Amino acid sequence: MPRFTLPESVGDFLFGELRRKQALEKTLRANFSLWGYDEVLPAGLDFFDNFTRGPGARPQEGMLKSFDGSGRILAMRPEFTAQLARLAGSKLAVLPPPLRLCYLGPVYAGPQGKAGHLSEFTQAGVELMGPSSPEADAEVVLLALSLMREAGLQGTMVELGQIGFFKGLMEESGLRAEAIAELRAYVEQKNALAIELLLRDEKVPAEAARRIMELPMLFGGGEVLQSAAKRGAGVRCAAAIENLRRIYELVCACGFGDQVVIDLGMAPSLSYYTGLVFRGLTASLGRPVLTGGRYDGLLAEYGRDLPATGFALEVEGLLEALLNETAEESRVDLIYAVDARSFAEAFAEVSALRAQGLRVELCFESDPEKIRARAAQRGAARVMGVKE
Amino acid sequence: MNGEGRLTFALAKGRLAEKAVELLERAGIDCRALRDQGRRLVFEDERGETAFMLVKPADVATYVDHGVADLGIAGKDSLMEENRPLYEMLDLGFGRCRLALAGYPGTSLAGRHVRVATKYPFIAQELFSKRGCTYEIIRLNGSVELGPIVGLSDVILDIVESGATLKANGLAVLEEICPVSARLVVNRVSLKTKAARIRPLIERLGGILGEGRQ
Repeated sequence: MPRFTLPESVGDFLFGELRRKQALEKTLRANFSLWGYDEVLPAGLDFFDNFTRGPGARPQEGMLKSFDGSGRILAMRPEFTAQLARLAGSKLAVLPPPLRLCYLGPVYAGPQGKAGHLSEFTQAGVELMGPSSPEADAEVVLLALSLMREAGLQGTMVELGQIGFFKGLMEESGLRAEAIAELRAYVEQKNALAIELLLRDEKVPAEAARRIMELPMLFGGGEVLQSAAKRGAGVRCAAAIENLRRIYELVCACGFGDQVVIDLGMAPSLSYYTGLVFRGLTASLGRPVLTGGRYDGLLAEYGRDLPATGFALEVEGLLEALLNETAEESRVDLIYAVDARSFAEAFAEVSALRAQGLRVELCFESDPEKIRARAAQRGAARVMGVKE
Repeated sequence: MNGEGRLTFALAKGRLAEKAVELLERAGIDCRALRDQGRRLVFEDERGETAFMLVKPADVATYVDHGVADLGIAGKDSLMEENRPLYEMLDLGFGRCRLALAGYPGTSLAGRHVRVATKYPFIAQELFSKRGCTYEIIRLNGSVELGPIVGLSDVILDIVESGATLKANGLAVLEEICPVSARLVVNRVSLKTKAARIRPLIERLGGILGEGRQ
């Protein structure tokens, strides 16, 4: 084994990178705190069983495992929510609801983690346990939005869905459980062809099939909710739409209407989520920065039957998005230092460089230190015209 | 990440790209930048509204997943092999073939150790792990038909168009796995953040494909 190398898919944070991460974490913590959320840090190593209970059940291949002295299976924390549910049902059992808890720390993915994805990354998030009202869901969506803005992201939005709508359609379709699991994956992919073929193979009645086939394109603004409601939804679908409409209106009324879209085709884990589902997006990252929703069934597994809603965000993803934004906006290729005497001469040279397509910025400082600092600030790889 | 107002396409190089360009032009996308290719890797139209990357078919899903391309056009086979979380929104109807298991006629797949030669190790893994037989996957990068002929494998998992290559080598399709054709994939974030451009494009493409079918 080569010495001094790291295991696959983990990384060291040094100097500037670490400072940026810590500054971001500070912002996140400050905002959680302002919204009345209390931070907890559960043990990084926990019993494997604590992550496989009930609707939160994770596939075991997604966890890094070990044994304790008596042979019990331990797992490195793959996510926080199950542990916060455990705390709510044990150490925090005396606290009356609502509980507003937040967390920020490392989580670990199993060895099968996709290439390019880190096996250790930082998650931050909140759980609001107790209330089941649309206002509670609106609170966490608003917190997600304001967090993304406070972190410095531009062009952010959240997409809202309601898992009850998909579940309602499944009830009406009469599909078997295995077919539903398969269909859910196709709906998440917006794969109209695969949906159509599956519905045909399973002989789903025409009316139910037509409504399921609309799912991939049921996204957009508030009008999506109206059109979905108009198309004669069943009881469960109608309730889901009504719930989502109220959450959507609350968020819009708070002035975030231009940052919210609806997608009724969102269908993440069916066993885990019970109501609102949402994702936070930014134009500068190719994947969602945060995911969340309502999970009313989980806490009962830990002895405290409370409805709950929340979200988790990936700190490294947020950092990547921030870096993508600044890189695009403010980087130049070259800093050229000029003074009054050499100005005309420099101008000719700079023009030639610009003609080659280089982004050149003039700098009127004479102190080499200051010139280099400017170059670093603008991400310039080269400096010219410095008199030593 | 690619710029706010610009739509970036990753197209699978070769015949698929030609067909894709034809279709995109019918849908009103300016593809002239692609005509004069030279040695560039990224092609942008004059107004900076659209950019194209021509990449290896297997890489289309990667570019779109990472968001450096908003949309991609590639065969279903390479998308299945990459298995990334993308929106797979349209079957474009061209590049049709089948993904199939092939070997010498009469080769039995039951109750034995099966050796599978393929360019698609992930799909093969998914397929055989569900069958409960013992299997070994042998990854090849081309001329997969050689597997059974030289005794490297019992069967191959590959795409089959006419079946002529198989036939010429005394092989036959043993089992069809699924039909394959070119698909339009969209990045999960771009669909929402660039909805104003992507959604009408998908609707136009859907309309054109619908006409073709009638």
